[in-house]
Amino acid sequence: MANLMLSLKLLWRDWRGGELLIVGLALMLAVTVISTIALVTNRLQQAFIQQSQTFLAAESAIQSSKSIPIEWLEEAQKQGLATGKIAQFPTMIQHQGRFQIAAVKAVSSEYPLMGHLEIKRSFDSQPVSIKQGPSIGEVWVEPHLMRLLDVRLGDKLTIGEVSFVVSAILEFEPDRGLSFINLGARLMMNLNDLEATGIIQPGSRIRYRLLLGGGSENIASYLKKLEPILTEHDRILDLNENNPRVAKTIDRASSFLYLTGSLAVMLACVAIVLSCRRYSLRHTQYVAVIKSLGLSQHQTFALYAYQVFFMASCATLMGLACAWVLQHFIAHFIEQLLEMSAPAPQWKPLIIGGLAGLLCTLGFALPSLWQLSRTSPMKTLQQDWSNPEGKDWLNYIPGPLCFCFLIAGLTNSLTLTLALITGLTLLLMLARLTGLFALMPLSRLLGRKHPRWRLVTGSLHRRQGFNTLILAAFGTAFLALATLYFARTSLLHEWRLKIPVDAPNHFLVNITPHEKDAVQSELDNAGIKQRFLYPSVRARVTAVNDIEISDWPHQDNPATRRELNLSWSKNVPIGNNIEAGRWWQSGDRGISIEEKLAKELGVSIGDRIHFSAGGLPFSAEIINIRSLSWDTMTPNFFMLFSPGTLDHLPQTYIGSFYLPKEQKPFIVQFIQRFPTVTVIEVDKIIDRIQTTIHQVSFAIEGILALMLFAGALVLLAGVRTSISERLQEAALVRALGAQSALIRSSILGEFMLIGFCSGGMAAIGSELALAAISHWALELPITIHTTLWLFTPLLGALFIGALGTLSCQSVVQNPPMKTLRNIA
Amino acid sequence: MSIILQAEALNYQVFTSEGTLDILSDIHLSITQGDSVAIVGASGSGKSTLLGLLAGLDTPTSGKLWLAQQPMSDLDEEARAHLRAQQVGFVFQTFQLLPGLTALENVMLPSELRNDTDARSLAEQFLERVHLGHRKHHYPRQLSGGEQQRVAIARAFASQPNILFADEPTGSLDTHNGHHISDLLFTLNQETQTTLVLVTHELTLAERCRRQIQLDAGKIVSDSVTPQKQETHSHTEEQSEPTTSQKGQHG
Repeated sequence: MANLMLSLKLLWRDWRGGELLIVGLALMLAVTVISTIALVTNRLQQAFIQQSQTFLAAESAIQSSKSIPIEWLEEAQKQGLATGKIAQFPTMIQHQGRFQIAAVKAVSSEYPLMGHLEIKRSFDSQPVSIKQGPSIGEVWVEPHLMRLLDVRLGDKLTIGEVSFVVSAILEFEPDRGLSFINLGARLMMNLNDLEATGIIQPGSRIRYRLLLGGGSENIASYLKKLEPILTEHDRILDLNENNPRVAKTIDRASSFLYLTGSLAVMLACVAIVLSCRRYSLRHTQYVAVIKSLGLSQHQTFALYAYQVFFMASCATLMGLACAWVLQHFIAHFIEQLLEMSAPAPQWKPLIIGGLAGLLCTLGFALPSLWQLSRTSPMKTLQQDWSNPEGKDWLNYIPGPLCFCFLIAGLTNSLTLTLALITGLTLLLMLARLTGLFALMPLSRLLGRKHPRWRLVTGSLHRRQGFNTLILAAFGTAFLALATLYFARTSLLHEWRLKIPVDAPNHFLVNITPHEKDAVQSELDNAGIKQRFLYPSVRARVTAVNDIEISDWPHQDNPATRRELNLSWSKNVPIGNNIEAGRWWQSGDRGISIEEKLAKELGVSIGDRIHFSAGGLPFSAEIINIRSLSWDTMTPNFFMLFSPGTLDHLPQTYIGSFYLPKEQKPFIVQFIQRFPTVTVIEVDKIIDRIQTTIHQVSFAIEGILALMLFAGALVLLAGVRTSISERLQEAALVRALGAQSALIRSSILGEFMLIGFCSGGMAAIGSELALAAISHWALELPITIHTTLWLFTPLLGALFIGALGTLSCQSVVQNPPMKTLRNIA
Repeated sequence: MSIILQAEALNYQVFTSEGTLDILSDIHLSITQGDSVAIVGASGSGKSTLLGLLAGLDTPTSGKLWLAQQPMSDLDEEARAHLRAQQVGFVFQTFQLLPGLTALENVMLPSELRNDTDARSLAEQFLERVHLGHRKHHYPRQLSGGEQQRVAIARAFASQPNILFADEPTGSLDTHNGHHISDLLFTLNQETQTTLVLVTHELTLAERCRRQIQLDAGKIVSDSVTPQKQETHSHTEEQSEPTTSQKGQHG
């Protein structure tokens, strides 16, 4: 305890030295970066889980295109699970001679198991929250449908053969969903009334759900028992099953953010190592003296370890506080972006941040201090104050080990960790090469023309290790920033220009066969000529070449688990190319499959694929393989059939057309005429995507700005390491008659040249990255970005020049006499 | 009078790429409590290395060493450090004040390291005794060389050691300051009855010690006692009080 007090006293006395401040700031930065990412990811994950569960209105569910067998229900109840049942289907509703298609949901009395419904008992009242659906004989209707049918509360409307009283306005249901079956206006009724309506006939497009609640373990054991008897028409809906892409996207986003953040953390750690080495060097005499006064090595180490841990704890706490504030802003921003609420963060991310701080301290600060504590007290007699550490390579092991451990823990991936370490090693090598083949030759070239520049060349030559570090640190930061900036401005602009001016900008979904002609004539009347209409059948793959899909080697592909939109066409659609096989001739009955899907499913020409559409089986052989061009902005189908193959199946139509901006009011008129048809405004979606990319890259640029800050800390720490040397050189040069302006300009020159080379390195890397994005991701011709080549080295020179000059102020300001006296 | 420091057959070698170098060879000596001993010799004769070994700052290649009846050569670094904390004080040629600490903080340091509760009052008392009470809050860079060495002496005595090692204590000072510092050193040495072992190449300083050990190429070539001091030391042994003649030397 007494040692701790002494340690804190020494820390307080030594704070003026400045190295500990840099160590503290670097640690704080590392903790802030990791904790912010952990907190935001945690909130996103929680939001995802919450949304998925309310999206199901249950903890888990089984969906089927056939009625749920009573035995399943009994088994669930036997295992103590909470159950509920839903049936969903589109049907015609009638009220006083008006007809309207509605998305009907018939619910049992237990619905919803999770979340709540909101209803209004009158138009002008506030919505009330309720945990149960409509009673027998009653229906709840969405306001939109009430307007279409001109129905009021208390009126009666007819579904099939039965009349129901409209007892409430349905404002909100947790599991509204976005599938085609749910796109129409909603009507909710009691499941016990369904049979009496007489609308459920064999082949009806109806979807049943068995809702389950009662704890994830119980549900898992129940589902395990049930799994062997499930058919291709039954599907278990849990979080990952329900939305595997979202779960994967969050995982990938978090790994990507951690990798981006880890670059800032790595730089912060370099700053910690540099500052601790400088601190050790400055304390060699201190330690030799206190050890000669009787302090043992362990006591000495404890003295310093206490100081560092106290300072690290303060820095970690401050880092966590900063992260807490930052995540509030970022979460608010994400909530607006994704239009969902992110629940309050849990405590686990804070522990991750704390552990990151601890690992950085253990790996990067303590080895120098351990070496410092080994300083021999004989140094007091020998007057040798050289760095005790530099010679011991063992000191360089804990840091990289801790860093690898941290990254592996954060990304949960050994591959990513190894990739990052390899990347960092290559980066250092590249920075070294830039130093050798760009920085030094450039400096020598300038030195030949301006003799005064030789001071700069000399300084750069002496500190090649430091130059490599700075080149690597700022080179990476500038590269990442420039790539993101140019990708979100220049590339996106080029991509948008590539889309033809008259490419369809509106999609129509869910057109029933009897509406098809009316829709076409409506478009004709509006003078819309550029339009396409395709039939669509929803079906599930059940087998390939008589092998059940569950036994097929590529059965893990998502396309085998969800319903696919199938269509047919007489001719090859615009923007499609036949890559293998031939287009069909009259009389052919077969499939044209998209090449990537064919590869993923492991199928080729001649394979027969079996499908089930709402329980109706059919099959066809693959005749050709197609490639698609998404830039045409027309609906694309992964599987196209020859005409006549799907005629016997229930179908809807999908369409697309181009509408000039000035004709936008037509959309309102169209929706009023066809309320069950969904109109998707593609131009709005593209705008939204562009805004999202802008905002997301802006957020990532925020993390990269922290990287610049970490780079600045490395520069500061590095300059501090060499400050006595710099002071000495400046004092000698000034004693020989040089003016302070010369010293100042040579410092500025040195750092500007490093900045210029970092910028140049970044410009090359960035141009390569942009070329890769253009070529592979956006399929654009590769262009040279002159502004990138012009501004990156220039801004690099200005930024690092200013930073370096500021950090070397004392070199210019210190009177030479004072420095020389100290040397003597 | 009891023996506080004893060395038997001490050897110290360093290993270089060109072979083994003998820095000290076959050193035998014993020092009694309260004695003052000067180790003299030319540069490179091994004076400072011997001082380091005697103080337990380093370990000999071979040989035995006892400090305050403890077999120092058999102790590990931890135990030697503990022994230094209890028994030893230092005054260095280049003062070795810690630049980040004030004069008072420098003097307090040894007592603080031993967790003494009266570190501050003891430090203030000794700073007064070296006439620097009014400059206790000054940093080393604000003090002259002589003042810095006075602070170093106050630090050495504030830890109340049984034995004080001084390495060229006047080596970095001019003649006037050198005299002043050596007066202070001997006065406090007498007052506190501390054993003083100092390394010097200055004859006048060495002669103020009762005993002089001459080193040459790592070997003791002479071990003599100043005649008038021999008498004083035997007198001191009997009375345990400084004599008038010794007090006269304090200047």
